[in-house]
Amino acid sequence: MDDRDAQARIDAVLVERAVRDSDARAFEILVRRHQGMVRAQLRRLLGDNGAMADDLAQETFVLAWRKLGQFRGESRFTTWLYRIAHSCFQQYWRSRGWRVQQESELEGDGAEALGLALADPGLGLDIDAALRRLSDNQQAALLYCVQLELSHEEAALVLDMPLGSVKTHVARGKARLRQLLQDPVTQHERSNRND
Amino acid sequence: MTELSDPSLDNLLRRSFAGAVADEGFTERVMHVLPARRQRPWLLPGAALAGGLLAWLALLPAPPWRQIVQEWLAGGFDMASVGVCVLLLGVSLLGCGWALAEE
Repeated sequence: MDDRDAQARIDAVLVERAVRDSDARAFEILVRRHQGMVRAQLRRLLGDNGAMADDLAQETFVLAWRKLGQFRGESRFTTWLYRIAHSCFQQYWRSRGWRVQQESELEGDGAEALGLALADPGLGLDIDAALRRLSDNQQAALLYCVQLELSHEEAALVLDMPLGSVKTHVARGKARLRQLLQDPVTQHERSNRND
Repeated sequence: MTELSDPSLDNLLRRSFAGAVADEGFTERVMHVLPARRQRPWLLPGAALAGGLLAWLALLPAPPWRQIVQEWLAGGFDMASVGVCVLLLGVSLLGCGWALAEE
């Protein structure tokens, strides 16, 4: 049994205790075990807006507590939790027109950020700036499939999209990232001309 | 320039991901705002169902309802009475649905 399976079994026992005995202590252990990754997931989705990410993470766990009885164990608890968090993010995103704000911020620092970051790879800004140039679906697919190391099937569940679409978003996202990382300024200028 | 290989790109992406965020009191804050779990989860849907049934029973002796039933028994079937029934049924179902969604 690998480590992920062992962790999933521990989660399953804790969920059972939390549901059967309304055991808040068991749920507290679940929150403690998973809050770090859920908050990191939301920070990545929100472009490091830590305060809002934490608000949404709190909402995620409150929803998870209310819906815990609906968790059937068909997926890992983490996948189920990521799905709730992603759905909270989408609700927020729709209500606030987050994308508009994000794009207007990018207008100002796109090529400069890419160029500066490539000059100093230690900053880690190059890949982040390049990621922001991808479509929402591509960013999300790469987050779940590569950064959070979910399987394509699990990512499809979290994103509520067909498996084939997830694979396509991952492949296209990676292809676009390669282009952006290898020739960022030209790519930025080209995309500006296309815009 | 050589093209980034798939594993190199994956590594780059993983390295750029900050990873788990330190707790720093987050768990306590979540536990503080958790709603109390109902000890009898059947209570709310049960009450909604009983309320719906009572409302229907209370309607039975009411003159308009009696008239509708009598018309139906006599074979009269007009759209207004069907509309009233559909409306009442809809409200009852809405109440039950809301109660279940609250659970």
